[in-house]
Amino acid sequence: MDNKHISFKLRASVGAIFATLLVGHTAVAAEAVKNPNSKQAKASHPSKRAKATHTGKVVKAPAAKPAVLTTAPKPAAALPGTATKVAAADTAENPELDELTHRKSTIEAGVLGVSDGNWKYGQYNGLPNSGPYAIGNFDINGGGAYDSKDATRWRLTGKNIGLETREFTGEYKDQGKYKLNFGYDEITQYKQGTYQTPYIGAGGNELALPPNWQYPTTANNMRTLPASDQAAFQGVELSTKRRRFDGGFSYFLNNEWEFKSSMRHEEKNGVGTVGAPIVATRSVILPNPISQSTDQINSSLNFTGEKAYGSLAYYGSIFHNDYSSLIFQNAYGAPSASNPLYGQMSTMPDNQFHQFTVSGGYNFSNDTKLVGSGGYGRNWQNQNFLPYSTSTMAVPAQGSLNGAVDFKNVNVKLTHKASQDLNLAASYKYDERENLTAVNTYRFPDADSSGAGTNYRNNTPLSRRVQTGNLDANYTIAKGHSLKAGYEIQSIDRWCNGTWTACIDSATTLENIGKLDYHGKLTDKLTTSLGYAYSNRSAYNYNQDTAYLASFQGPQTLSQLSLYDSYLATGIPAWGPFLGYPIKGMPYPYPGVFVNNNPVALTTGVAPNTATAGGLDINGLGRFNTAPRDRQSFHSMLNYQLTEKLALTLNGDYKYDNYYESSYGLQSSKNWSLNFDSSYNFSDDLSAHLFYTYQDIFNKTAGSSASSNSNTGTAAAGSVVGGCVNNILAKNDFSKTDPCLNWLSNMGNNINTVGLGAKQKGLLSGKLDLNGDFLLSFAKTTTDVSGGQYSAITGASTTTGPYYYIPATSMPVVNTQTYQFKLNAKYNVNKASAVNLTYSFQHMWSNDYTYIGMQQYGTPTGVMPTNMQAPVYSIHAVGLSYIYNF
Amino acid sequence: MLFTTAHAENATTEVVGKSLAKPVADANERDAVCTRCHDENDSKPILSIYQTPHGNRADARTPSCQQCHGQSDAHLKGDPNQKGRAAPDIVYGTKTKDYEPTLPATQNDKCIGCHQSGLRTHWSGSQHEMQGVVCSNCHTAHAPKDKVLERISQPDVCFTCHQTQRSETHLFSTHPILAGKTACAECHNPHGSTGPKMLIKQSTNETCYTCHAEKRGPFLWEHSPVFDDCTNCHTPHGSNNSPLLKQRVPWLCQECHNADHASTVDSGSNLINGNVTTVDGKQTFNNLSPRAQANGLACLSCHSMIHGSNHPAGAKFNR
Repeated sequence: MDNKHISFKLRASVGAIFATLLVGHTAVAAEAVKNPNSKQAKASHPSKRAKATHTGKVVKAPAAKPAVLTTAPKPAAALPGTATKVAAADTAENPELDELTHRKSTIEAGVLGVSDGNWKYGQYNGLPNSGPYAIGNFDINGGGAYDSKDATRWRLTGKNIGLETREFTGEYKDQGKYKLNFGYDEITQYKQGTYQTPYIGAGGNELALPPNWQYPTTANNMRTLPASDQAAFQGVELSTKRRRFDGGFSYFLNNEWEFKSSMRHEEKNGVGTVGAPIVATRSVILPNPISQSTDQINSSLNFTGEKAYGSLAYYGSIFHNDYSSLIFQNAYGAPSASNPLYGQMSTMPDNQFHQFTVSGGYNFSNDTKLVGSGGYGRNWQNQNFLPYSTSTMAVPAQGSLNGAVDFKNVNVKLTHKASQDLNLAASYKYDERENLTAVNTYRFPDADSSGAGTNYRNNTPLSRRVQTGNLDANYTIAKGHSLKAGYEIQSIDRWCNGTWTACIDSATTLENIGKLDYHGKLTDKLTTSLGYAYSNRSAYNYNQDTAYLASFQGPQTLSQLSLYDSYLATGIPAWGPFLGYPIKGMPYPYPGVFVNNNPVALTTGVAPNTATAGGLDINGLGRFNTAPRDRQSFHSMLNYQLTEKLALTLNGDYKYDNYYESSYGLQSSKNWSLNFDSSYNFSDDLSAHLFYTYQDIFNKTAGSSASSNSNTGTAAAGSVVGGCVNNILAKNDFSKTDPCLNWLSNMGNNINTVGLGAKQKGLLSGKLDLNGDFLLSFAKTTTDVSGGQYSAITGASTTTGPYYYIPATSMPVVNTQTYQFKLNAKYNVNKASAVNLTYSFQHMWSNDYTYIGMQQYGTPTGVMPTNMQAPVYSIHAVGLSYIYNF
Repeated sequence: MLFTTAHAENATTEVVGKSLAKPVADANERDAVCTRCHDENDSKPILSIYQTPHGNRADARTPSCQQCHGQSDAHLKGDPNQKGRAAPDIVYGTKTKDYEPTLPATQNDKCIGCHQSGLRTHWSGSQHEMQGVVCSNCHTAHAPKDKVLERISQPDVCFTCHQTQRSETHLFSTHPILAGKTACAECHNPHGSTGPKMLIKQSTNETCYTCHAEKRGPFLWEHSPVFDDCTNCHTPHGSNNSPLLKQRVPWLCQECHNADHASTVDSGSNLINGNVTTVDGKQTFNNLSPRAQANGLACLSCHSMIHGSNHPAGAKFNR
């Protein structure tokens, strides 16, 4: 290839500011993020820089007196005889100027070898297997020179073209007039590499068992699969590939108006997993076929004037799923009246969303500005329903949901600079999602169990309205010291259109938030900031049972079907009429309503299982997203520029949520972190950095193992250590009130991250650049549980035998340890050529029981094993590539 | 905007108005006032701005040096042979070696003056603006490749201040942020927005649906915390609990569910080979360990359609 020719044609280009990456794992990646010219500029005249600055370069002509611009300040006249006027002729004569003012094009090609394969290592980087991979990247620029009359620019890029993370972009523009662009981007996500299943047909949506499949020797117990079945388990790679196709266009109608439009078609294909129960609590983890697409379009007409600006925009998103169901064979038992041959899962239905938005702003003055926006959108979903079950093959009378949701939002913000030292901001936001979907009653068998079905549930189309008001003031106390105070109030209304009672625990929550921040420059070298915020969220008439009532589980036995008929007759199938309460407007706290269809008194001494119960079943449960809450947060930051070469940063964040009215459910959560960063510049060419982060996330959750009181009599409660009962009858009498059944879990996530890196430029007479990074990440999840539960001893009577209280113990600690080392050496043979060598080592060790808990003979009895393993690997990768610049 | 890897495309094309006459020749003359000293030997590669859209002289809107840095008379009149030359009228940045940086509002006004629409519509009064962040904290206008506009290097810019998020991206379960496939700006608009946490859309969920449209529904059976806010259960930057969960299941579920079989305590006593010890000593118990709800996918082994189900039998999110 004629180097000079290409150089002549392309070096005149000035690339767009939005650059591409030439590399992920290879050399150009590092190059892409730094100024490729800075080194040359500085290194080219290390000894004469001061002189050159004073005398300037030899130039074609002294700079003329600059033009006076209407929108720019009038510049002073240039000093005659010393000005460097950068022009094409100069750059032709001066390679250093050329280097700075003309953007380079780059092509990189090479090979990368990976020592071992592991799905987790290759999860996102396109390197899932051992062996060689091609390195391929390019970034080619063209168009007019910066100082020509040609404003066109074009650019083609390709990145990681030898990997499953490849992407390509193209752009052509006449800057200030129009622009066209396209893009292709793909990524394969590896989800598991050790998953096994006996199902045949993975990748499709009809999964059958091998013809010789034998059912568990103990009914419904997957730990008792015959040996012949174990051979049927085959590995299936779980991965999905996303491919994005982008296209865009923008056009300036004139100096004030611009039209823009962009489209994206995205495909997602592959296999994931999905848990699929069949008849009660028996589940298989199926290979879930994924074949979906999403089309999105953005179009806008934008206006920018001297004082006003605005935009009218449309956004559309259309989702399509090629699969509407997943059918699978029952692995637990032979077909019978109570055991179907097949089960059927639904998939994510097709949906659409279309939205129009108007936004804009007006600058009353430099000190007072108003910004606002408003939007309206609608979301549809009307995919045909599947049958209730594979055994009844009935389809709901509605046929499909005909679901529709309206989205409305309004935002207004006013900012005002009251004085040189005081800035004020006030804003209001309104955001509503109103679900217009009709409410109906659905009667269905649970998890494809045979028969007509005895579950009755109403759908609860959820709606939400958020209104937020905000006031902020930022006051400069003294030079370098400022104080910011803010107040925010947020109310959230949640409701369902068409349900017979409220479908959310609290129809309205109201949160008041106060914030105070200080930012100060204590010395020339030391700056700090401190901030504190407190908020309180109240929940009006919080009731943990209303959501259950609205989506109500009907009578459980066939003998109660007449009740269901009466519900249908009244048009309101719910507990209200069943228990003799009014159809609507039931008074708080809805006495006589219980979960589990098991009205039982909470008060000791009241006969259980009677309709005269006097309390709520799970009194005190607070669902954390609507429950009353106190929140405190604190943040601090310290920046210390110790010397010109050494910079230190220390910051900390603390947040504590207290759900102060919740006896059960999430009690509190705490999240705090400490960060330390430092950098040291040994010289212009050598620098190093170090960081450390510690994060602690802590969640406290409370519960009670209390269930239905199955005993209608009373029995003497023998006592064991801790005051808990020791026989089944007693346990059943007091199940709802037994304090021994209360439990508490304290889950902690502790994360330590250390990073260390160094960069050395200009070794071997300025030709060799080195870059090294080391990273360590230790994450630990602990789950400490107190409380306990009862269990009968093997062989004992399950109704009258002794019961034992088993204190809870901590769950296994889940550790993830990651080490990572990367070294990059780039040798610049000359300005046109470079050779890049990369080496990386990565090690991960995990004992996550999400995976290792799924081994044969070790799974829960009601879940088919998958034999998945937690990732453990140590992988080296070496890459060598040649880079050509022109 | 949605279909850009960062804000790159919009960063330049949204500049409209302010036409200047005689673009090319005059522009070079104007810049020569500065480039006579700030030439190719300058310690900073000032001239590389000509590789950027700000240096495209055929575009009449392209600013001169002084349009951004001010007329800077005192600076220009200083004796270049003497130390102590006065500062330019506008000195960008917050950490500058030679001169005191200009007030943030003044710096930002210069940029916003041309770039106030589009993605910057909500800049005024935004969190970053109120915290004193200046454009040049993130952007390097003179560099041919601005780190913050590069998908793979953008997180490094954001992590300069958001260090806890940097740590989280190295955890077991993450988005492909470090792989350069999900840039911060694909979810956040650092210039301000109408959404929480400066998200690009009005709500958290609408932001998530730009990549996860399958979870938008509406579903026949909606799960209350899901429609409310994805971050009720997920933490987007990284977690030790896959997939991006704030807590492990079943305890995550038990934050709200405390009845029926969700009420049972799940502890190490339930696990196979765990210590099944009663207060009276070790015993052998009926099928007690491990419970399905505490192992493997736990609750999600059955309630797998937890984001919503369109199956008429899916009220319990198990179909």
